[in-house]
Amino acid sequence: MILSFEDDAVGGYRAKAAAWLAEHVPASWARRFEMSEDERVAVRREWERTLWEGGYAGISWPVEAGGQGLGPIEEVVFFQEAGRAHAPEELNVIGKHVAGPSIVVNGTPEQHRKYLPAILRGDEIWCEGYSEPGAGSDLASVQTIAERDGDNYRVYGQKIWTSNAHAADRCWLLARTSRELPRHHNLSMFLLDMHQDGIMVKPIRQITGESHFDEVFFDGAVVSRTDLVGEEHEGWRLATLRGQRAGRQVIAGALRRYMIIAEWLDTLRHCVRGTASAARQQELATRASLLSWHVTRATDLLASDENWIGSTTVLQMWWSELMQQITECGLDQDCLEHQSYWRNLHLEALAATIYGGTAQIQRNVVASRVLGLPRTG
Amino acid sequence: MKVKAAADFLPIVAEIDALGRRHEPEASADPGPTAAAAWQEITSGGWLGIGLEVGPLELAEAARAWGRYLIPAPFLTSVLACRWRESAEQAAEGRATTCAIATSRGPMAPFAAWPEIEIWGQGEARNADEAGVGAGISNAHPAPAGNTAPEDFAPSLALGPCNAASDLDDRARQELAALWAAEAIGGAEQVLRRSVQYAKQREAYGHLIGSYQAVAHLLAEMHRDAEFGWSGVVWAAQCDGDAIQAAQAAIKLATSVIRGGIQVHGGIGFTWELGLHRYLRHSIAVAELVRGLTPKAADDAAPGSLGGPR
Repeated sequence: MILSFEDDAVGGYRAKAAAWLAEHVPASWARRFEMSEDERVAVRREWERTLWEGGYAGISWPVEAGGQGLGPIEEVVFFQEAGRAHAPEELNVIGKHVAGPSIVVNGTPEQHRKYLPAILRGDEIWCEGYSEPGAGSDLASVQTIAERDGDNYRVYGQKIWTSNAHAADRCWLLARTSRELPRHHNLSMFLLDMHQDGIMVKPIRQITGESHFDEVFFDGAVVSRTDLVGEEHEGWRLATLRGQRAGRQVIAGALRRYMIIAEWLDTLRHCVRGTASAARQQELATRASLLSWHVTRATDLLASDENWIGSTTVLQMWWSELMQQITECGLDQDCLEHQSYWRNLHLEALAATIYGGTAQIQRNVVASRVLGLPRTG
Repeated sequence: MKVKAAADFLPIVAEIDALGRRHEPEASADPGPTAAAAWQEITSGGWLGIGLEVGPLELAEAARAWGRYLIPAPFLTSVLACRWRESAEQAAEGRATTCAIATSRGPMAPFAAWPEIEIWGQGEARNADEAGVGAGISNAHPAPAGNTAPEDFAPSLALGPCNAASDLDDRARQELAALWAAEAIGGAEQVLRRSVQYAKQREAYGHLIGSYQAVAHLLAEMHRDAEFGWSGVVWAAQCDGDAIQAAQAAIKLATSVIRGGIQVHGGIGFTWELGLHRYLRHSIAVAELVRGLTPKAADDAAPGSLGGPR
């Protein structure tokens, strides 16, 4: 059954989720700014398990795959309530929203048994092995290669900007499996164990001084043929999602940012002094509310499969720039108590218009896919 | 909570769109005759009664369609008047109604000089206890101020001065704001459509201008703003507390889309003849009116509260 936001059942689900969150959000998360990165990862890892125990992991995954069998609307509702409850950010984003859903659809029964329960329980954290030094926005240029070696493949090459590789147990890896075949037909997708020889993870120090993502070097790392997803050379199709699942991923991403934005605005409220700043802060809060309403509307369009591409493709443009605007406003308040908070967040927020397709790529996508403009030169 | 109009109302929206298209005024012609013809069709077709049994989101869809054509006739306020009075009779009579809103220039009403128009609150019993609640409340009955001619800034609204503002309750203010915002977004979407079309036809330096990233990115931003603007209308139509704020946000986005459209068209966009300025004038004037709907209490409200869907 596809629920609509108008259905009473949604209200019931929302109330139940809010009550559960009020009871289970760890109190320690409020002190995360005093924690080290390792401590934060530990709290987020534990939160993944709590979500599973509470029945809030894999909300929109099918029941037979271990999920809750609900729809995108319930998923959105849960995210909205998690944001209001100041719950920790999900750690296993790639596992639950990228690799897992794809394994559900494209994986073998053995892959289902081996990976899905561990993803949902939060036992195994995943990273995404896509970007390389010469293949960022132009993902089809991936050079990392997986060479056949009996029943296995051996992987050679380098990934970069790999979020949470240092915390990951598994990698959703896109690699070339042919030196001869043309672009888009020479890539395959693998489920790779990160705990083995032949893999070196080297944290990248960001402009914030912290290291949330890494370089990953492969020098003969082994992945079994049984851990190939779909067919050989099908990697491009699996990496470039089209259709409903792509829309769900975009919406889930926007909701995660909405949670962060709501929290930043909470802090900003305490920093604002004077009428002009209050007006600016109100304007930002309005933009955040628009984000929330827009996500709701886009989700409804997606759930009923109605012309949703035009509504989902604009989400990242909106939240990424809003994040930067909020931190700029925070900096301008010159609030002694939160000065270092805003300084760090401002630097951190600059990544938002780069990762996941730069702000310019986002505009290209809207221009070509939604507005049908001629290819940009 | 709803995020889209009921499907069975959409044929009515399509009819309004078709009516608007039939009577869309030429950019450089006097819009008077076409407005009179449109009004004749609206009243004889019973279109003023469309708000009697539907929700604000359905009406917002109708306003969005109406906003595409900038026909200078008091359609939206008349529909709302029938709705607020729950009067099918008034709809059948085809009575024109408008609302006088407090602005920095004093109370102003769209189409104040329309023949035999009624201004909301005119001649109605007023409760002295309510005086002071809401924007521009006075105990005077609003009426057009003498023989003053309508302002020529936004011919699609023909704002005229009144001696007092209409006494609108919270629901009326919310619905009016949502409909005016929907109308502005409808206009913005029309400008976006025209701009995309132009970018696919107009060449410069041997290429279609839409193939240049600078132009394509501006159009992408216009699309984004029109999308979020409509989400603002959906919010304005349904949330009691911050409806005016949501409508204002939507109108601001609509205005930004329209400005972008003029830029995409370049020099021709700046001409009177092309007519894009009419959309900009309309959205600027509507923004002023919606500002006048803001309850004074809003100033004292906790700043920065997030109005997310519930």
